[in-house]
Amino acid sequence: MTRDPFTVNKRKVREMDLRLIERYFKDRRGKLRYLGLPASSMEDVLLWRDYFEHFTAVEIGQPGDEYRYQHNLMLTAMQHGLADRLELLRGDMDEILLNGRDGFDNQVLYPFDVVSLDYSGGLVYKNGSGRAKRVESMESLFREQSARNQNFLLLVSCNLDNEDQGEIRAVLRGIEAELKKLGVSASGAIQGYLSHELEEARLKVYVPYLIWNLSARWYQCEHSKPVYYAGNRGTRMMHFSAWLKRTEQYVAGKPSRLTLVHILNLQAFWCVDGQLGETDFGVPRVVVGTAPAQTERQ
Amino acid sequence: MTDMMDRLEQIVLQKEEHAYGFIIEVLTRGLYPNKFHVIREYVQNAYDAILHYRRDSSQPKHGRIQVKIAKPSIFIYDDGIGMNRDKINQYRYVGYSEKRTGQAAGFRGIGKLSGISVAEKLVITSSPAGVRERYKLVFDADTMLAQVLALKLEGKNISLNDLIPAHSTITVEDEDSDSHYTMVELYKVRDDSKALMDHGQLAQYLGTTAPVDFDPEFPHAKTVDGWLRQHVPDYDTVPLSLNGQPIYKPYLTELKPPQMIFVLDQDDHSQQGGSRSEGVGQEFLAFCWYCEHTEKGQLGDNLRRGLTYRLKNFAVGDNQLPRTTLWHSSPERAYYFFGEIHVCDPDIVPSSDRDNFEQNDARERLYARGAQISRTLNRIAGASSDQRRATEFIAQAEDIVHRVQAELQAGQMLREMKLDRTVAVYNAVHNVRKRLRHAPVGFRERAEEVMTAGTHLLERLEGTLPQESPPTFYDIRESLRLGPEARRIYDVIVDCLREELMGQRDLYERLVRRIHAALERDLPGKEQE
Repeated sequence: MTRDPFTVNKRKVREMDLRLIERYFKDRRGKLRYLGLPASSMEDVLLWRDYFEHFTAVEIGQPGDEYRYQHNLMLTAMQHGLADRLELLRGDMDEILLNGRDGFDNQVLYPFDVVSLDYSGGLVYKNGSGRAKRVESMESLFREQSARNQNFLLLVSCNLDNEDQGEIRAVLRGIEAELKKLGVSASGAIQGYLSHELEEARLKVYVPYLIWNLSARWYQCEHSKPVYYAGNRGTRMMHFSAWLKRTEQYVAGKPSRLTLVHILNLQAFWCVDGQLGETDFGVPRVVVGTAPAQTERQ
Repeated sequence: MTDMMDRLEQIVLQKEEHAYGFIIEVLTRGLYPNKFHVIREYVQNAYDAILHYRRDSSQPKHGRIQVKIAKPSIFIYDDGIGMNRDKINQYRYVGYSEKRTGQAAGFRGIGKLSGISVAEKLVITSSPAGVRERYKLVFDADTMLAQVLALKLEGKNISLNDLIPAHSTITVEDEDSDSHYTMVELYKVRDDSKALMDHGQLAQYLGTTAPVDFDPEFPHAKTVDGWLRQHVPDYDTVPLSLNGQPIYKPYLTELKPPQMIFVLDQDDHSQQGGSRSEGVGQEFLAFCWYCEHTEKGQLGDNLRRGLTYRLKNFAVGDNQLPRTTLWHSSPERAYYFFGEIHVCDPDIVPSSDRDNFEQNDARERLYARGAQISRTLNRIAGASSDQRRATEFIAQAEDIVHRVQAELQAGQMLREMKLDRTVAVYNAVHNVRKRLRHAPVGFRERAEEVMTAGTHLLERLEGTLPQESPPTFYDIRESLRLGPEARRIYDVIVDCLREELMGQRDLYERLVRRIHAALERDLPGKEQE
């Protein structure tokens, strides 16, 4: 059994995240609290350790062998002198967020400054009964954080391997319809995303939209440019980061036009062999103007 | 002949098993009634591993032990020497250890498996320096025990050679070659061992048992630690933390500065004091340090007071053991002190449960010679008691002399009380004179002063001082100008009271004063002020 290697690309992504942590928390270095899925190698935790006073790490392990991975995670923490600051929650992150504790009654100790959800599966994830458990758990996270008035940095990594059952496409069509109601024509952009050969292009819209939609009741979202890269064993990955700022200004049922346009127009980074480049996936930008909306290709 | 040869060959070829699965049942159920001793076993192994690494790497301060309670598990981690492939394989051998008796804290090869008595699985990961691998040994304790018990119900058994491989696995993973450590996880601690998951209880147990440093707040920590490092062979400490909090040996307050005793293996050569006498080339059986209680009587903390045996700086037994093994008289005085007895004789080994030492000649020798500790401490406690009593009597005498002097000076001493006051002063002076030799140096002068003042006061009371006129006592008979008959009646009453209230002088005085007050108030024709 070998440990997963931390690829050059993933390391680059984590370094970018560290810059975000520095930007939003420079006055609280050494006092932050983390919740995440660091895996037994805990690479992100090790890279960011100087900023944090406490880590809550969730590890599910492999079926029938869960304890091995959880044991190895604690071993890494011990080796690096982090065990004192570590809370290990054993089990599925979604279940843990929904229940507020793991299967051994260890509670989720809110609030957190940085939440890092490094999902090995996709984000559009439903179980056999069609319940979008991952989405529900994310909503639970937002609710608990907001109850403690907590601003925080959300980092989400996911791969593109899961079939989305049309969910992503439906959301894109929904965005088009909403903008049309608000007097903005985004059909060119939406069609560009729908017909794009890369799933990354569609996820670039879907995930920020999902985060915004789930958190809108409590938070303003400030999305950074997502990054797509090749992860372990060549898996296609995308990484999203959003700064969630607590707000009471929630207007139900009225999505913000500017937010939707921003999400559509948000560029992305690609990361290959640790090198970054920007892209808009060749999709036309949405332009908001007084005249009937024009679309421009940049 | 051929038949006999065939039978012999069969016997030789048949694999003989000499150990069977019921041993596991004993190990899990019988050997560790105190579940905390299981943690001690792994702390012991961690300590040995760290000391081994210190010796090999010439880094005398290297290493620490981390214990972490993380439901449902307990983790014990050390950055000691680690185990290579052979050693991790040998871990599965019950009763096998390459550690030599007396050279390491653990040596029986049984404690390493004690975790199966408290947890569903025992998971050990280890890596030695210079090797790019780590080895993970998993003992599935629950399934192993379940199989033994199921077979037992059927009246069957299974050899350890079959049982252990069936319920344990060793896997190899990559590791940095610089890493060296061992981590033990007691995975899914059982319900009957849940006390282990209590931070407070485990911290207290580790503090009193493990080879940790003295609490920096203990005023005598540096002194005692210096003595131990100087005089006790192989004495050492390893930093230990529980859930991030450092664990120290507990200490008590209200203690006098520490003293030490060397227990030697020769008659009347046990040494007390600051150093061993010259010419004593022989190694000693034990080294004892102790602090006496500053206040009267026993120290208050039942768990920490008294002395504790330590071997390789691990506690053996509790604070009762020295009391029951060394004190043959006045055992209550053991708790006037706080300290440790570090056993230095390599022939003395702890029992399996570490609640005592194994019975052998060396132990008997230790208990016999170690009785010097109890005699010394009893003598010290007795001397302290005498000293305390002496200072109390001196203070009492001062109080009595001053009060009587003041009373006499003011002319307020009742005639009826003259005898009582005389007796009180006499007794006070006598008690001080009797205890003068026990008085501490700072009280000697006060003692002399009060004896002189008391003697002088006695002469005043008797009216025998040549340069002074006899003292004046208040005589109510004179004050009220009582006639002869009234005086006689009054004297009879007072004499009866004095005799009747022989043992109750305060009551006697109160009644006399009440009678005086009543007479002064009610008697007609009394003189007006």
